[in-house]
Amino acid sequence: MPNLYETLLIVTPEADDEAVSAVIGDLRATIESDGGTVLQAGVWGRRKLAYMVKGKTEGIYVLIYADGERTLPAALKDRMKLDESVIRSMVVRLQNLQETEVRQQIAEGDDAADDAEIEAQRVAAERRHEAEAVAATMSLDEIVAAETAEVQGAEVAGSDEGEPADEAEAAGGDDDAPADEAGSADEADDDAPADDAAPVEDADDAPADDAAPVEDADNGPAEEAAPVEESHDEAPAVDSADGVGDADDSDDEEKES
Amino acid sequence: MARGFGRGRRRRNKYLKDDVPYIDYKNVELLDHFILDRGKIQPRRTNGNCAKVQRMLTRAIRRAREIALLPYTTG
Repeated sequence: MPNLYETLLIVTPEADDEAVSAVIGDLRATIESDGGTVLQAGVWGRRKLAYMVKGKTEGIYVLIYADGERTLPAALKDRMKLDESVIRSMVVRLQNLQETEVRQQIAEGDDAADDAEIEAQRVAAERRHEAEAVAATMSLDEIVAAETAEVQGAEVAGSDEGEPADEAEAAGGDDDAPADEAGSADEADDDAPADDAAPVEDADDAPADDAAPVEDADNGPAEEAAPVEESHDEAPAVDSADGVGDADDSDDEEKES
Repeated sequence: MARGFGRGRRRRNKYLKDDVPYIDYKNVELLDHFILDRGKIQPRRTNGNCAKVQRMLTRAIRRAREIALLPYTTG
């Protein structure tokens, strides 16, 4: 009786769909060459990592269910270690109830759509291998030629970009010409905010002053509720307001205790 | 009322019954209820889990941490 293994791995977030499919295709091949069978393989989702892994804060989670012998986890781990796009992986054996439940779910979800996905993964894996083969067979001269072509292209692009940059500088010079005016304007502006700032502080004080009356206003009803006579006699004195406030506090404390 | 000494704070678990068959480490929404603000695993004395469930839970949380679904520590 083979074991059911669940493999969850994180693929680097830069990978596109094709690269992810290629990774899945590779692992599929690994499982099959180890004598196992893939029950389900697909992308679990893209999500934020709970902590940084290899400098990444995000990752594409891939989930694979496979039947296999006890050698399978080691084989999978070895393969994933070689793949640079896999930044974290875990293989877990499912047992008992969880095993039967997962098997049921896979059996229910099994249909033609899976086959299409498998085919896509296989094609992507083949393409990647072909690309690698092409890179390997490419002669040194060709590579050098391609690089020089790229460099030339980059230079051309650079010169194109250079002109607008000069214009921008010229434009900057125009701006500088009335710089004296601008400077004086700036100075004026600087002074103005400074003046503003002072009043603003005053304004802060003002609300503070306002705040005191507000407290009085709050206390107004409270005074009506209890010692009405005092407030009328002594005008809205701050002392009485404080006294009422203290009284309220003490009430609260009593309630808490 | 006695406060802050465990007694009286213990209550039956809201999210897990004592007879759950297994806890999946991929179920982050569930596991999230059982870690403290700092990312620590909530002790059994506060969440009221039975020993078996707490064991499964701990295992699931540790697995989830391994694959970056949950933090080891926060803050």
